[in-house]
Amino acid sequence: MNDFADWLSPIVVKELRQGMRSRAFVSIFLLLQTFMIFCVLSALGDESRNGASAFFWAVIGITLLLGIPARGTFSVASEIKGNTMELLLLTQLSAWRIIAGKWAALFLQSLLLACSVLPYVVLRYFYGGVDLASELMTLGSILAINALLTALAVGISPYQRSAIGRIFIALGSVAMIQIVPAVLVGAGIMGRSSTLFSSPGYLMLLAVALIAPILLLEFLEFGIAGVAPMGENHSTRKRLLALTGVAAAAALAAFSGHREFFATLAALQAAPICLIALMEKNHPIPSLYGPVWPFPRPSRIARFAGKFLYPGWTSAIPFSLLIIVAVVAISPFRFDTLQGNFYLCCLLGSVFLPLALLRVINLKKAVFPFFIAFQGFCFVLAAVLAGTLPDQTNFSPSMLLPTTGFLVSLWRSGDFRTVLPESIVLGLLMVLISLATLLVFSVREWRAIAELERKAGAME
Amino acid sequence: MNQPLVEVCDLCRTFGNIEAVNHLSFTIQRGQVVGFIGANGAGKTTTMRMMATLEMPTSGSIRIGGYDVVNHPNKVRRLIGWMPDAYGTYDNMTVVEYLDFYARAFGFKKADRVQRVEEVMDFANLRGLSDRAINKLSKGMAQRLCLGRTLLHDPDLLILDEPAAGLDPKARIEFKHLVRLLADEGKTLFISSHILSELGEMCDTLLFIDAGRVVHHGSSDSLLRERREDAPFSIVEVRLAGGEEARTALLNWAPLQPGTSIVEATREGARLRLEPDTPAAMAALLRKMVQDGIAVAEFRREDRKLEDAFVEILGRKEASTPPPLPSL
Repeated sequence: MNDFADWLSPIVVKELRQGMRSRAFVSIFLLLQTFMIFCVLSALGDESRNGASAFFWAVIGITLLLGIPARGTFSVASEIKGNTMELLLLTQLSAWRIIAGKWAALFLQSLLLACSVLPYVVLRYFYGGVDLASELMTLGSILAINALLTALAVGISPYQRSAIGRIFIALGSVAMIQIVPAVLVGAGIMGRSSTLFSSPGYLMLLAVALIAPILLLEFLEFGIAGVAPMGENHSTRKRLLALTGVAAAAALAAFSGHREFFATLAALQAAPICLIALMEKNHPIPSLYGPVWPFPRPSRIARFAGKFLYPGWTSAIPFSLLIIVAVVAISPFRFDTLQGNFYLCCLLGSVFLPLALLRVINLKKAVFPFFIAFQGFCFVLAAVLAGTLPDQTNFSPSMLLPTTGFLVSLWRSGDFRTVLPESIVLGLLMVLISLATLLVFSVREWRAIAELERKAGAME
Repeated sequence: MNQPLVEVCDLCRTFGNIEAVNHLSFTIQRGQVVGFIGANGAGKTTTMRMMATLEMPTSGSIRIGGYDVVNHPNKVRRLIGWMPDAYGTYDNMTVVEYLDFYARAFGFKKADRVQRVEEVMDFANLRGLSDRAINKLSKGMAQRLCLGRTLLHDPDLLILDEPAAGLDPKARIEFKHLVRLLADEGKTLFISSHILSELGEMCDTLLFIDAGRVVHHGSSDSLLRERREDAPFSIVEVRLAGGEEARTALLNWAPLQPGTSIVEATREGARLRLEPDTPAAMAALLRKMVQDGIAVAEFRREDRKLEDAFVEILGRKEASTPPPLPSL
């Protein structure tokens, strides 16, 4: 019972005890060692060493970038299937500690596998003449990507028990995330898409240091939302995370002067959190509407912060608008360009129109699939329209966002690039109608939240 | 009077158009062992899950130890031990590792953790199994392990959903023994089961529900008494010495006797319903039977069973419910 220290998370202890004994891990470990021996022996006899080196990294890459993340997709699903997740939630472990523990245990196993190949790296240095520093850098990079992929795998694990479902969720998430850069490119916020990659080296490093941990935490938060009991507030933490990311991006933009670059990063990290927040349900549980961090006691400021940070779609509207305003403020966006205004309308319309429809039809389940399906429907519609046009050479990234004025513009002007002023008016009108609809529906919710705030205050 | 440990008030839970729990209200005092009985789909598990903070009530409230399960789920979780019908164990883990994991998850540290795991293993008679892999345990052993896990944080209230389902007779006897020990320690137990006779032996109070509503709340004795007052007849089992001929004679004879009717024909005789339920009436029937040449080998008044009482309560409820109006 004392083989693991008390300070280690119980989930890490359990997962390590279980995981290290599992057939999957033992098989991966033995196969990796066998391939490593084979690689080193081949490198000794290979003059050029290129083939052996490629094989060496392919084996490590497959193990750490496919094998371990694949195990991650079962980590929470197996708890749900085995009826043990609820038992875990009835202990003193929060959903955050459960999900983070699952990820940490898998990452520790990856570290163990990475450490087990170090002797072969050293052998390659002595007998294969490779550059040790660059080999270690490559291994470190693979581990960093492994950390992110494993977090993504653990994050999607609670949602679908079938492999197809998990793939659908992963593709849907990617589709949602890729909407943002498409619009940013179109709107001129990001400028050319190559900016990100032609930036100075230190900027790339800063960008990775900023976005990688935030993305990792966001992936894990996605999983937490799938298992947390209704009474557990996992939303405020996510929103604070997004705000921290935006604030860090703003500071770096001010410091470096690369406003479009850091505006893109801020949008990329905050977009999934905004979308998830906008699709959250409002639960009538008073404890969720107590003072939010960093305000320990009920006060006017705490209640004001709650208007942005309380769980549920109602507070997600002001929160998302705040994020959008912040991103636009960081970016060198100019409102006097026809194209930029038009694409901004498209972005807002793509988000708020399906959400307004959700409220109108009062859909309570399958909200996320509805959102994805709506975007897919619009995409297909645009593709069909595009197929009828005589000039099909000009592709625009805004094709991914054809929800509002874009379709009209496409229909009237007959190409992808020309933006008509009435399209902007129509797009803006659509955004305003969508927002107004959401606000009308949220009035009743805000009244209920005020009552819940009062109850939460009484409970304090 | 002490405040009840559990107060369920006007509890409702709907799933779409289905009302799983329908205005359910009851209380449980500290130290009581309460049997929770109902047919499949009566709302037992839903109610228990709401008590265990795993399900949100649609309306109504549940307070455990004075805490509302919706507003203070974490405080309630410290007071309850939940054992679902699907036990929930892990492969690739030994008995002691399983309990050690949950002890860590409940916040036990160092020596306290080791001591608590050992206490629970002693209580649940798991000492000899400590290093055995969980997937090598019998169902009875796994059930004892899960009961042990439920007890780790020393909860005031144990909520056990169908704990005896699928156990062999030996494991059932062991389980009943453990329940008795827990009751002696002053724990409050809320147990659901289909095996009414066992619940009758184990529990102080029985709570019958049907279609999400309480149909009886009281001790098993009070239930049987109530039935006796409501139904002034007895069931008599008659076994005959002769063969098929004697059986036919009894079946022809019984309906002709005043206050007597046939409940069912058995392989060796019949079960008869006799009214009124008095010793004199029974003696008169037996005397008449012998006088008329029925070859009686055994004449026995059946004990009343909880199962019969339950079925009767449900029958009464259905009879008192007006039939739905025919649609035009």
